[in-house]
Amino acid sequence: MASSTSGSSSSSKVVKIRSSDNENFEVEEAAAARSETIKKLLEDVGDDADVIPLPNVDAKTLVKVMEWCKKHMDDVDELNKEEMKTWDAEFVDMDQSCLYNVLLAANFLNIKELLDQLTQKVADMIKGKSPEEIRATFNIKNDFTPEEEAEIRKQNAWAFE
Amino acid sequence: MARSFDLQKKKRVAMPQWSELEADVLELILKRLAAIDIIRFKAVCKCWNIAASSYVSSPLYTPMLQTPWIMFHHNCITKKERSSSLTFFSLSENKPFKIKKDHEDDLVLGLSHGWLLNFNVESRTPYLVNPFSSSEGKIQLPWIDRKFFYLRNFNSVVLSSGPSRSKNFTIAIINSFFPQRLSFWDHGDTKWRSIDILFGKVYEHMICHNGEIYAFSRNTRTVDVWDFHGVSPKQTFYIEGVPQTLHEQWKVTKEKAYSVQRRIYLVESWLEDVLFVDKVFLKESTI
Repeated sequence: MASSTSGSSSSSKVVKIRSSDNENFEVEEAAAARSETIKKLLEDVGDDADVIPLPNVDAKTLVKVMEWCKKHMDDVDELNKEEMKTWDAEFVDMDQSCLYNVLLAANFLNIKELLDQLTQKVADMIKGKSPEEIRATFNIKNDFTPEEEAEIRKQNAWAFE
Repeated sequence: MARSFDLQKKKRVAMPQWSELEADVLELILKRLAAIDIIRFKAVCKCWNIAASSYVSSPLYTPMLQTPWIMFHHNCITKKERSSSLTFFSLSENKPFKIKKDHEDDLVLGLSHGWLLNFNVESRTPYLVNPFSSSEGKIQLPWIDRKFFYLRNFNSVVLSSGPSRSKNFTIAIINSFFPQRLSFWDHGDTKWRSIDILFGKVYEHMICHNGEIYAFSRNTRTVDVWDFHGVSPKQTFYIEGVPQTLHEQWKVTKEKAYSVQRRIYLVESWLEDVLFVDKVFLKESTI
């Protein structure tokens, strides 16, 4: 590939993206294109693209997302599957505030596989927990009136024992 | 001035608002939760309640594959013995759950696809109910002739598919003993379709496989296959040579006596094979 003379090899092409807080990043196109949103934008603007603005993603989150995209840039062969699994598990193991931002970014950037991994992580954090424990985990305010809450619990009282 | 405003704005953006996650993201999370976790999810906050309620009521809703719950069942004959709740054991949470029955006196005759076939003693009518989701309501079945009370064997009820998924289902039951009678009811029908089973056969367990009923008869050691789609159900073929089982025998050692009981169950595998499960249990008895 390196000796290719065509010069249009997409694997080595670099694209510029800009975070919501105006930081610019240079990312390999193959990595950035893991995002369907960026891929679509690139197709639309073609080679004229200067910098692709991502108004919904801050720099800190974008670094994290691009770290994932870079790792998942190439197809994984059987040998690396286990290693990749470990890497993914470590990747999603972040504090809930960071997890939230990466989750929103993955949704906006439309990166299906990353979204699957993140929502799985959130589901794992919910599993087996009582509503109170879930609220504490995600810092969610209970906005039910006592009557509403009692009614909801009454419908399936057994699940709250 | 502008600078401090910017900082404030940044801080506000960084505060996670889990309760305000977009509906499609919440749905991706809900897809990965078991039924009991969805019930608790609904009780977290208003937004999550709305998201979960609309998710489970969607026609496309497919419950996540989850570890089955074990139901404890006692064949209580007298009113005194009957319990007002059903006990289930969740393997994943390693604890029992007690679900209150709608009517204390109703008998549980069998279960299939997570639905119970209950029998109301007063009106002598059977009905289907999902114990985990009473909101789905009851499905009342027509009155059935024959001695429903014999129907104490838990393995004699089978649904062709889960009523939560589609209204196009059939229920098959074995009612009465001598001779055994196989009865079918298609959802929406006004009466049961029944057929006597060949004398001498005693069906012990049945399952629905590929749209047909597979029934294991202990004494003839055969599996009969029934097509229930026509006006009168007909047996299409049977499988012979089921391994020998001894229904009950005694094992006596110097100190103790045991009763040895075996039961055969039919189970459908992931690869769509029908398997036999041979269950052997020893019960200690006093001589």
